[in-house]
Amino acid sequence: MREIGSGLRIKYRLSVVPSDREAHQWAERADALIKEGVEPEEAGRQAANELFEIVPNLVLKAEADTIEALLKQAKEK
Amino acid sequence: MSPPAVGTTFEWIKVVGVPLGTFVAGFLVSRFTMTRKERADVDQKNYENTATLVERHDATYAAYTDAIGAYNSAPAAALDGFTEIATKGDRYLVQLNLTASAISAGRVDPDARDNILLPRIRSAVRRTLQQHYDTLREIAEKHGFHYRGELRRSDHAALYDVVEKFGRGPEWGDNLEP
Repeated sequence: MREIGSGLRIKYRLSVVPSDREAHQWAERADALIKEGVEPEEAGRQAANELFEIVPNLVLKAEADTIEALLKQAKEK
Repeated sequence: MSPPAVGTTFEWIKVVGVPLGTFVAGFLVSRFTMTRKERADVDQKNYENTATLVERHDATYAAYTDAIGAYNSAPAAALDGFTEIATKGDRYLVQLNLTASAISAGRVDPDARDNILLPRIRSAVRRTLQQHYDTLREIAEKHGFHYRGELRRSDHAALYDVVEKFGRGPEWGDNLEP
């Protein structure tokens, strides 16, 4: 299964992959917003907006980004 | 007494030629155009083709990234892991070429082509192709593995053709580092 960080990055077009801790913060913030009565989809987007930097064009390149990051790690091994 | 020859020819054209001409024209029109039902069938077929292509693409993408991930998390750089990256990467690129061929042949759903398939092909041509071969070669040199692969445009002609035909699009500019 894909890690939650990359999932968040692709869904909300974030500039970097959030760490597990950041992803957790996002989940808590989204949860809080939902409890305040915000629609779940909107709550997720709002929480991402508050916590992360968003790059509007990023979603189109998610796949190439992942491959690039992985290949870079492989090179350094 | 027989009527004049000119009159006979004229009568003949009226009686036989007009229906025959109409029949041939009708045949040609139906042969080169599609009825609404035929059009719908083609659309449906293209949609199904696209779904299959995306599914296969995703499977090869998962296999490729899994192979790099496994190599990265192995305790030491190993030849087996390296070979897995090379072969799974090839499979991924071959599948992308098949997708590009289907696009060139007009056998995909136009919306899915523009929104799902073309962005992936463009990013692959712009970045992944070169990165794949460069990385494999660097790893091979560093750890003494045998590797002779290199990026040859002729191996991925279908990809380059599609990018030339449909244009480079937003994937060409690198928005990653704003």
